[in-house]
Amino acid sequence: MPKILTIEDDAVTADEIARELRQRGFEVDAVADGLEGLRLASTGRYDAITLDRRLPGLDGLAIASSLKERGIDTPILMISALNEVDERVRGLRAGGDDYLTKPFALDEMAARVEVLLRRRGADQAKLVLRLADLELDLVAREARRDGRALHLFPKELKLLEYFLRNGGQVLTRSMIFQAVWGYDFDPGTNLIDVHVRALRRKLEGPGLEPLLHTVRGSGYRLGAR
Amino acid sequence: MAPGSGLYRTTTFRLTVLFGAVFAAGLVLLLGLVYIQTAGYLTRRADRTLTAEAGFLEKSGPQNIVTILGREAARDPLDSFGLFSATGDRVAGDTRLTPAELPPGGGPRGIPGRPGVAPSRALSERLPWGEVVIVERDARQLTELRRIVLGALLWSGAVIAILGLAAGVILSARPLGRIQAMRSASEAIGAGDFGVRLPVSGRRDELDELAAIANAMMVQAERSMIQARTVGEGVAHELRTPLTRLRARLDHACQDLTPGDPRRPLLEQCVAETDAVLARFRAMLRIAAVEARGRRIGVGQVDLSAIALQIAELYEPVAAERNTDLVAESAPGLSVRADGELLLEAISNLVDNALKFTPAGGRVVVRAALAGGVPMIEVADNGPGIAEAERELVVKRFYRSDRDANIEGHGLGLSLVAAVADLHGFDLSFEDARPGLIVRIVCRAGL
Repeated sequence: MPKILTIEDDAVTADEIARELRQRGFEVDAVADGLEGLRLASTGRYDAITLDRRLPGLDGLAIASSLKERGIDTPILMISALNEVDERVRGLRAGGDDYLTKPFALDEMAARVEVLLRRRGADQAKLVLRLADLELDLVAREARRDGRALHLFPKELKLLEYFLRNGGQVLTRSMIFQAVWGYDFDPGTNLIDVHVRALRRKLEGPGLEPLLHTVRGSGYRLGAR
Repeated sequence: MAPGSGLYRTTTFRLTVLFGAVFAAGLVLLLGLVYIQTAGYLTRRADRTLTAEAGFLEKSGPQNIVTILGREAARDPLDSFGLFSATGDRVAGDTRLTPAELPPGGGPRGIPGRPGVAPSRALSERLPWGEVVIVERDARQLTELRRIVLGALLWSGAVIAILGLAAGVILSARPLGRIQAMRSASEAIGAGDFGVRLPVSGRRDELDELAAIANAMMVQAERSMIQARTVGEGVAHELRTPLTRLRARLDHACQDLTPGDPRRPLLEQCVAETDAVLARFRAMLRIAAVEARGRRIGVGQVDLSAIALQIAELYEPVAAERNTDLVAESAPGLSVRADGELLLEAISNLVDNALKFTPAGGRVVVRAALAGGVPMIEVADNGPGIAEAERELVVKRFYRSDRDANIEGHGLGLSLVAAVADLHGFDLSFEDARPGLIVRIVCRAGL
């Protein structure tokens, strides 16, 4: 069972995070103090950390950078109430692996933690990704479904790669926008939906099992069943 | 307005000139008085001399009067005499006057000068024995005196005028400089920089006092503006957390229902509505964050053509679904100093809008080009456009035109674009594409 460390000084938020993650089958330790958080995180016992940006004792940025200095590569989800435009960049630069702004939807937070966990376990160097009868060859930049070649644009290849690397995982629209396009703003109208729909049209076909599912209220998931 | 013409309108200048004029009038009065007094005194003295001499001659006898006349004439070169018979014929003396011109017994009188002949005072008197004597005294000193006084008036007048003007100009230059500084400050405030204050020299004069009053007003105005602006942001910020929780509960309730439950669509609608409100709050806070960045902007060299191409690629599937053509037209090498991500966000908002408002079969162009030597990026569509009267309004927060009624959106997109343009010092303009709308960001080197 993956172990998560939540470093969060706001009791209500800490409670919500812990409850949501436990519901999803994780073991959660929550601390409110920065120094205590750093001490626990330094043990390397955890599989992922949610880290508040503003903390008593020691600032979130300082915790992230000193963990990286100590060679602890536990993935970190930085959580910040600062709605600053460049805050995300600073958080990621300090050693955060992903960034989330308060207030957040709990399923979005959980989805991001799950992706971080998966990234840690998965072989990032894998060059051929497979799911059921779907196959993506990253060297040849070719995708196949049921042995039939799919003609994908470069961005569609990237989108499919992101889905395949996180197979079975719910991915929210903002996660997709950040991961595939590298942008961090609200792209307005159903932009991501349209891109996913376009990919889905190429993926699915008559007689084939649907693979790319819409998760109502959250985002999308690639997976059999 | 040229600073020179402003100089003559300053209070200091006017006061200095007024003082100069009053001083000059006083000087004219003073010199005039001196002249009148002196001239009167000189005339009276001449008249006394004339009367005394006439009296003296009266007392002499008809036998020796001619001798006495000659002696008197020799004694004072200013005096001249004439002795005339009872019938008016000259008996002796060198005066040019005759009893016919100057009848005896009229007291001393002024005789005007003629060219070559000085003015004089003269007295004509009939002697007890019937002869007439005329005594004349040269009065050229009165003319001299007048000349001297007038000369003094003229010269001192000229000097006072020049000194007064010079003093006025010199004394006005400094307050004028301060007013110039105040004007620049006011223009900056007018342009929206509410942190600017009018300069105070510290001399505690009336200009300082005025500046202090205006500055106090500015502090108040700035405070209320910030309050007015942040109250909305505060509300948005405060409501986001409870709304996020509300959304989570609605979502959970929705998940708990069996797929066929008739209440499910209703709950899903509630989640969507909550999402829309949250998106609106996010946009508001985003604009506030952009505006609050001020000069702390992450500038770098940004390629406008690359932005046009990226945006066109990003929105291509949306355009395809709406059966609209989306084209990027760009000239290479249009590099500007800007925050790339913010500019991209602004252009994506414009393209999003253009796609929403252009009917199926329409065309949207993202164009990066040089306009009069200045790099610009614009989004043009051939949709319904924006009426001239509405162009000012569309950048206002939450403004939605009548035509927007059936189109989803929160009316904040163009406000964000305006905030981004403003932050960079770029010009945002709307143009009629006949038909359609062109929204243009002209990237003048502002940063």
